Amino acid sequence: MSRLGKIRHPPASSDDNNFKEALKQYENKQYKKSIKILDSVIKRNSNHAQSFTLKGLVLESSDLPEKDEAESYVQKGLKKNPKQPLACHIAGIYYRQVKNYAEASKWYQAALDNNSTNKGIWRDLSTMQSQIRDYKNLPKSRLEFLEEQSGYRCNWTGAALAHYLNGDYAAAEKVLTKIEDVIKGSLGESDMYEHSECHLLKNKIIADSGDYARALKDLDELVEGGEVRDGTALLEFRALYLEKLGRDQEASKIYRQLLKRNPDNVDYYHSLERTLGTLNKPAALRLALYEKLARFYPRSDPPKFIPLTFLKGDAFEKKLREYILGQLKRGVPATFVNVKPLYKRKSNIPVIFKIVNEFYNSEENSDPLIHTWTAYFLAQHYYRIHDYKNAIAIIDEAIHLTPTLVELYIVKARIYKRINQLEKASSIMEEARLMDLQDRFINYKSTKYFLRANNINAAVDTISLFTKNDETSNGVADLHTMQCIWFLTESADAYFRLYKSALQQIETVKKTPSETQAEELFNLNKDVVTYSGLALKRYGAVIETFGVYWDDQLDFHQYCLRKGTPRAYLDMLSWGDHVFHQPIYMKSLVGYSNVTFDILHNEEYFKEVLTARPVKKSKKEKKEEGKKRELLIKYARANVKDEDVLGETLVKKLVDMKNKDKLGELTKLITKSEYDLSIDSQILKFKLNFELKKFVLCLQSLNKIHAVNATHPSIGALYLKLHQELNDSNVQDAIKKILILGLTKNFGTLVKNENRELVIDELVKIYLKHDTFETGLYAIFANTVVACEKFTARLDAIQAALDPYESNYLEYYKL
Amino acid sequence: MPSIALDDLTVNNLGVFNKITAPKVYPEAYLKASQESGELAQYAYFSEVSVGVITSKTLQPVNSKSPIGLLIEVIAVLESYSKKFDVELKLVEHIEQVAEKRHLKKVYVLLKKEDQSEWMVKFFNGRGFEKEDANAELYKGLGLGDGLLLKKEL
Repeated sequence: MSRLGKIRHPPASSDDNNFKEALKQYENKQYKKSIKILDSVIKRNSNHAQSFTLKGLVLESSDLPEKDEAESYVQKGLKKNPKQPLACHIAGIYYRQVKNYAEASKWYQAALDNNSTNKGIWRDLSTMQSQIRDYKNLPKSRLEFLEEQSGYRCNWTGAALAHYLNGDYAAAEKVLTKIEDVIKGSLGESDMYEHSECHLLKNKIIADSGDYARALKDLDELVEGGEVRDGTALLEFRALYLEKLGRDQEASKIYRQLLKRNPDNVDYYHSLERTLGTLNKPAALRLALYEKLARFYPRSDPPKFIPLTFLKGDAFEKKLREYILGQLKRGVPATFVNVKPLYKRKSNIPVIFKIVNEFYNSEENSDPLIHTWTAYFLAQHYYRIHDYKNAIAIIDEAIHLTPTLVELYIVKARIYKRINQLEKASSIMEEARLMDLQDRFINYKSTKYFLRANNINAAVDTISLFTKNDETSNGVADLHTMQCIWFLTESADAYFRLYKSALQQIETVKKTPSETQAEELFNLNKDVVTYSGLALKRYGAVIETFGVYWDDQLDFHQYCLRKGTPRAYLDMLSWGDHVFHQPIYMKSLVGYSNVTFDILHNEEYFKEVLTARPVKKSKKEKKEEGKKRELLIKYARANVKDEDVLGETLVKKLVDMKNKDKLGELTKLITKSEYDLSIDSQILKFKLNFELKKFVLCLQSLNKIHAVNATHPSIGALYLKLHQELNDSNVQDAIKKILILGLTKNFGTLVKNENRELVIDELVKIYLKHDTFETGLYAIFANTVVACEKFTARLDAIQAALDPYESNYLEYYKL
Repeated sequence: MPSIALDDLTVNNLGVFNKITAPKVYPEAYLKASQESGELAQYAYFSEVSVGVITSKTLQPVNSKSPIGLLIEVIAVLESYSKKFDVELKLVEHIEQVAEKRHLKKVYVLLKKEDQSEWMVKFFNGRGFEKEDANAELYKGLGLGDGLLLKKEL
């Protein structure tokens, strides 16, 4: 944490001495005592900047009631004297502690700029700069610290990496060469791993500078020197460089060596073919190559499988038969999964079916277990081609043969899920789970299927068999602590569905007047708030967890250097750069935004429900309601101390906020996950900026989506939404001009076409042509922009083409 | 031919029991007791898939202090694996071995009416099990009445 101990103090006044004492108390975690001293200093000397900032820091570290005022003290201190190095340093530490790394970086820098003599700050500064990817200023801090402590290799590596990240490859190489020369001959065995990694780092840097010839020469020297221990890397680097230099034949030889090391790596086979130049050669020749490789590596799958991806006709059937039957006869459960990639080519499907079906009905197949696995294959085949009736028939046959195989029930449950019999699916999965209580996988499956059926209590009870339930009655809190993303997203989705179902039920109840109508509506309205709140909370938990992932990088900016793993460090950085673009994160962010927008668009409704008084109730009814609520809380509690288990306060806060603040949180999140190549991220940005009425930014997002996928189903709806603004008199003419100009670029004549019917026809034809779930989503969206029969007709057609599960799922989005 | 392996029942796989004996369903308490009897109850595995089960208990006459033998209560093998891979044989052999280890000289099997298939009776006869009078003085009060009692002297 803090390294305040190293702060060197200017000649002391009594205030300074008191400050020093407060600092000591802070470091000993005597926060109350520290505050007492600081208060006395502040009282005496209201210009003692560092005492103010220190008070902020101490408050932040403590559990004292004034903790909320921490930042205001820090800011007060900085305002009093923004050039006081101690005050700046403490502010840096404070901001680091509250995870505002950009601010921390700023104040560390300020401390140094104002002649702080504490050189350790350079190291902390470089950590902050690495975390916020401020590579431009990183080399300076790393170099300054290197000068301070040049006796440690890690500081040299750090400086080299800083140059590298800043794009200065020559400087990076120079630093690495220099330290190599210095330490030559004085390395012990324990230093050799780091030495090896640094050699490879340097080699990579040379290659990344584009000079492959020199990188190759350096590689020769490394091999000769014998100091590099990562043999695979040496070969992979060599193959890559040779290929870059156009020496394909030599590269192919290296790939053969690599195959010898690991004949299961599919990439090596593809690289071998690329360098041999066989990719465009006749299939027979390629097959000969793979047959030879298969003889060399008889236990490897790729040389048997890859030919199936390019063979056609009889040759394909022959090889496929060998491949499939070879596995089925050995009773390989994953046979279907292995051939599944071949289903992408439609003409393959009947061939696969013919082979397996013939085998299923043949005499040869007398072993009941092999017979079962073959039926298992066929069930998955039917599942894959959406023939659920036959899929059920054959999986039942398999279960009849071997009712003790868990795998069979998993497939059966999946089939029932697809035909939208979710409760039945979950009961089948549960049946399988009961056969093997110690299997985490089936436990997870069963939990997930309960969630899909919106049966949250059963899901929680099931998963809680495997969680730590010390402080709570079930595992929900533990799953949050353990960052169990799948559970969080699945339960978020379940709450989202329950929220939408409540809306749906409200519509039904409204249509059928009865004595209890008022009460029913009251309860359902409450459900809407509760479940939307819980959905927000769960999606929020995923978002928070990813924030923790991102934060976790912090320790590694120094740790990796000390451990001598610079290459792994670079991998981590690129992972960190994309952590918020991962699909599962994006999915949660989309879910979070959807619910937030829903609430904001229906603010009045939510306000009304939140303040609504219950219909008069008898004692018994009240008791029952209390019980129901208790149960809900029991199964939703994500944290022992949580005072807003059901997220009601969260919803209330959102609707009570000032207008300008309402989208603040969302803006932060969406900005953080922004990525040009991610369509979801751009759609979110579009929606957000639309709310903020920043239409030019919407246009930008639309163009980015268009650049990634010119016929993406979202485009039609977004275009329509933006185009509508052209008719809005509140929009400035200058903005309209920009919009017209921008839209014309990608949408040509559509922009000026006055005939709305024709425009919609065109949009449906171009953007809503596929029968997919996603297209369905955007047909619904388009219909909310412009209600139109053409959209609903198209949506109906899509829903009819989808399987019942997806088709039904779209209903949730209609509400 | 795939090898048949035997293994104990565990608290975690009791769910398989009634899948094997279906349509017959045994109550939870019986499953639990069988599992706790250790080697007296076994699953049979065919290529690591459970396909058969046997349970047995010591047969203790009412008026005697020492048991006279082991009584096989349940023997069931999934239909498609039954009668052809010696699953039944392996299960019965195991119980016989346990009896021998415990110095019990007799193994019994009580076949309930619905279990008395021709094949099953023949199978036990083939292994030296012979019909025994369930109403004999020795077995009084043990509730062996309804069913075919077979006995093998080891």
